[in-house]
Amino acid sequence: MKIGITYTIMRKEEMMLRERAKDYGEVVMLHDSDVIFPQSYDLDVVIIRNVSHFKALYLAKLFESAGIPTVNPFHIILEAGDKLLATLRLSKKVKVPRWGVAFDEKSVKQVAEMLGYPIVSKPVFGSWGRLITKINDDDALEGIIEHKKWLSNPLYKIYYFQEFVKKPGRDIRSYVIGGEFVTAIYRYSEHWITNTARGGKAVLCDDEEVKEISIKAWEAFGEGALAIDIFESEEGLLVNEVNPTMEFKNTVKATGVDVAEKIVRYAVEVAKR
Amino acid sequence: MVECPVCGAEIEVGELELHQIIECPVCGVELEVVGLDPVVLEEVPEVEEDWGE
Repeated sequence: MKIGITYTIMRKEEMMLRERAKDYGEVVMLHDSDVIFPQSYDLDVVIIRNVSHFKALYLAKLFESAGIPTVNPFHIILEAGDKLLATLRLSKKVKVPRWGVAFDEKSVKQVAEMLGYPIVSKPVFGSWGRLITKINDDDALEGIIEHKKWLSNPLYKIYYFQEFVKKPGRDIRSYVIGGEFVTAIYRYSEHWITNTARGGKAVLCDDEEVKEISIKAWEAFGEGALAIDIFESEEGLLVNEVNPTMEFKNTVKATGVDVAEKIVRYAVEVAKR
Repeated sequence: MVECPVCGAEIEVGELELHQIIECPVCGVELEVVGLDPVVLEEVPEVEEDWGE
């Protein structure tokens, strides 16, 4: 078995994945600078770990069209990696925060009125809490839209909003790989943005309801290895988003679960299909 | 020993790998191993708009 791992920077996660993959066969590490197409690659599966969402997306499609399956596959990276597309899928299977999207400054206010302040503005392709903004009134909304006007990337003009969900000083990150619930953590933070990239503390979460909603959220996509972010709202659990290129070093520390092993084993299964 | 490209401190490095990320113990900057023989360190590439999970 020949397992490829594509990556942009060699983080702890990539090192863990490489060590686990060695147990299953030959491992080929493919830094951004190592890969060009068209070119043939003698690999049975590729684990896509590029920290750049769009590099991950294109690499998945290129390897797939060369007949080499990837984890995650192109369509999962595409739909799970985009907050609006993910919300569309998730909302068919699980409860999600109320959301709205507008495509022009003139209609943004209608979405804000539909949701009711406070609302949260999020770039559809963002991560690590980047450019996530809590908006409490029309003045702030106007300011955010004005700023977005001058951001060059056209994706910032997809005005995606969620209702602001009051959280108990934490949210939940769970992992479902190949349909199997792997583990979950609470991420504690004083700040309303709770991901551990911003210093949130990670603690094991052992809750049957979290397990159930995580599996349902994964079923909305039906394939792949997904990290799922969940809010504990006053109306119960809400799935906020899913992540296709999961970080997990803090989760391994907090839970003792060998997430890298689970990803590699799943990739080997995919290779054998 | 390898020199930190940011603060010039001499950093003691053990076994390294290409593209591995290390931290300068003096100035705390994150460095990427971009060469091994000899060891060459560069600041980790800037976070891009689409970086994340």
